[in-house]
Amino acid sequence: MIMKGGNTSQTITQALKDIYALKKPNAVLYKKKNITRPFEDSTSLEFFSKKTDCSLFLFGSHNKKRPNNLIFGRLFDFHVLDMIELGIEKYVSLSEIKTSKCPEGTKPMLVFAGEAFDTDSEHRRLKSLLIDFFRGPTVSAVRLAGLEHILHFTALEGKIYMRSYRCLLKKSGCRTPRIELEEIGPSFDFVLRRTHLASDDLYKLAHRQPKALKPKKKKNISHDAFGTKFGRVHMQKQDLSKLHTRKMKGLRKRRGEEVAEDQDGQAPKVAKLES
Amino acid sequence: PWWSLVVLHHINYDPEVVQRVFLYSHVGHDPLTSLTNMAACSVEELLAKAEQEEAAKLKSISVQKELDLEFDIGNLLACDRNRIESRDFRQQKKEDFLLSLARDNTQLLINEIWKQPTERVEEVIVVKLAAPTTPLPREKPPPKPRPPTKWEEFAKLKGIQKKKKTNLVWDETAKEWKRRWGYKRAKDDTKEWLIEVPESADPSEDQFAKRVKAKKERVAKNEFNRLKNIARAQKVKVPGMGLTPKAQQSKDELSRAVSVAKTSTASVGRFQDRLPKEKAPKNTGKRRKFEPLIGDFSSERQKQLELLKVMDSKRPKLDVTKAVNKQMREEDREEATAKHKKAAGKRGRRGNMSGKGRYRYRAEAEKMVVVHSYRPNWPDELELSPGDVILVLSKHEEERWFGRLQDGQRGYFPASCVMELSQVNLPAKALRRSLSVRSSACNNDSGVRGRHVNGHILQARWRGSRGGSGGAGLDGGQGESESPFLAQRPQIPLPQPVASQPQMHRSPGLLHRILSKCRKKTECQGATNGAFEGD
Repeated sequence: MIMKGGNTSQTITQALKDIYALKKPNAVLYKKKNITRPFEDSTSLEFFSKKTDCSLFLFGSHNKKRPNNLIFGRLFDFHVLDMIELGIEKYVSLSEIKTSKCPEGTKPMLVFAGEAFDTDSEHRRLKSLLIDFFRGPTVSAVRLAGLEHILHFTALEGKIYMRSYRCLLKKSGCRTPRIELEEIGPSFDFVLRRTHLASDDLYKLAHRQPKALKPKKKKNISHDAFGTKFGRVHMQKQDLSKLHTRKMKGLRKRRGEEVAEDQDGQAPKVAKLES
Repeated sequence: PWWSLVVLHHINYDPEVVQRVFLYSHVGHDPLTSLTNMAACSVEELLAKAEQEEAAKLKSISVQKELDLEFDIGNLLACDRNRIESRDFRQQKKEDFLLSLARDNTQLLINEIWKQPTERVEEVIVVKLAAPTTPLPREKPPPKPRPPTKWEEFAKLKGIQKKKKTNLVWDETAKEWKRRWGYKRAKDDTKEWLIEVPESADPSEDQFAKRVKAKKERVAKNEFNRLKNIARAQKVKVPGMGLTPKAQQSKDELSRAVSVAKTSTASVGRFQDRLPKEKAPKNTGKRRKFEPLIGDFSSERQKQLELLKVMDSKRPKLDVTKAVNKQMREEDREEATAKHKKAAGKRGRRGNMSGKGRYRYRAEAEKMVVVHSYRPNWPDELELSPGDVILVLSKHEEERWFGRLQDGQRGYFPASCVMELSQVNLPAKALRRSLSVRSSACNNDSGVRGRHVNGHILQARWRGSRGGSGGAGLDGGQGESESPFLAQRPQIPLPQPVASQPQMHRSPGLLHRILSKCRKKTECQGATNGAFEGD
């Protein structure tokens, strides 16, 4: 859900449109202004999410106190889980960069750079939120030639730089191609403002998976340290004298003994047939 | 030599040939030393060149990083944890720095993706992605597991474990493994060829048919229970077992069938006509709810202790006064309706009975003064002379009221002959309280003598409602009460109001009836009249 606040500037509207273009089939852009403050009262957001069945939202607004404000947020069970406010310091729109763009609906590759995304808790949540926001639908297989779009986030000196590139797969000597990038999409310089993060237990609750999704353990399969697969085969008790093994020529008995054995061997054979 | 030139030509295009070059070099070394010495130098150069070029190629896709990146191929995600030197950042132009960083990271990600297994789908090479590994919160909470069924709950309560039974059972007679249940099962009693006739059974009975029939009944019952379970699970109301078609149906079953049929209309039976003598169904609605066998032990204990306490206490279990009054009220009510219908038929009046008229005992009796004289036309009417004070007891009909004169005579009179007093009556509550005290005292004395109970109450009420006579009158009334009543009965056998006559006949067995009715359910419909609570 991409929506506007009570007051918006040209930058904000353009930014919202660009992000909508990035997320094209899976997003809805509202044209009307909504006079709400997500950080104070999130009931209208929840109402909208129930109506459209969306759990991610982007709210853009512009005040004197917080110019060019974007609020990224997500909901769990139609209640607000996380909300992070980012201010746009520098913005270059899609239309300003005049290169050919990727087709819409391509699953982008996401790259996060910077220590802050691992050390700082707020940045970690921001990372998780951005992954949730920008990754496309989960697919089981991807066309190799279709890996074109890249979103690169860098956390540096308290700012977050978002760049969008198109990757060109060049021939290299081996199977894996060499990458060359060219910038296409909108580029943002964000600064982290307010955050409203969910409490730890709510966050944990939101991560609970149903039992059915857990991978089912296959019985009778075990692995040892080297990765060899072991299993047990259950058999009935075998009559070892009747086993058909390889006949080693050297272990065979000599002539005289053989004749006697043959005779013995034949008699039980006949008996078997009869029964 | 000529072959070296050829090899050089190939090296630029096919790395596999480099390996062949090695082989050739080894082969070349042994037999032709002089030649190979010369060739060796150039071969080594070649090999060095080949290595360099390979490295260069791999260099094109290799990236040096301090820390390895973390990959989540399912999400096409890469995380770079290396420190970014702000110095480098500020030296270069921002965009170029970011571009180079992005390029490096993307190259590593692509390398990782290319390691995954690929397959060809409709002339397109597709790489299979693993499941995403980064934990992300769900949009909606996971669905709740289905609630346990009735059996599961019971089994849990009783501690019944699920035992896995074998599918096959050894059948001795057939000497083979047969199914435990189902087609051609091990113990099928309908398939036996020999049945011993039990001693108690009828010799002409067909035991085989009996078994088959029993089996059919079991199957039918099972099916019925299954359907009932489904109906219960889906909360669909079905009529009870009593409505299955039968040859002989008892009165109860028929009445229940009628009631079920009545309520099976769209308006749930609200506008269905009733037969003239049909009574309203008694047991519709909520039936008694019984506590479960193994429920809350503390509450059960509490209830039982209370019961014992009640049993122990000296209070009488049967509140005679209450019972008596209830019984009387019921009878009067029935009788009033019957009488009114008869009256309506007789006099051609509209059966428009006021609510007040139904109750014979009214606390607010009105004192009126007779203004016109009246000569009685009917045996139950009073003779009025102007100036008499008459106590109007009931206004059954609009024009014909029932009242009592000062000398004790009771009867009907036309309403036009009397006029209201301007006197203020005693407050109703005081009346009632005095009434109740009187009546309870009276009743306690004559608890057993049901015959006179009625009269006592009547008298007590009349006494109390007089009010003006004061305490003396009330006290004196006790002794008098019996006699006037008793006296009156022989005095005015006929002018008595029709209502009280049946009363006389009824009263001997009144207490018996009350005691027998004790156990029956009371039909206390509507709000209780406060006037009778004191009784």
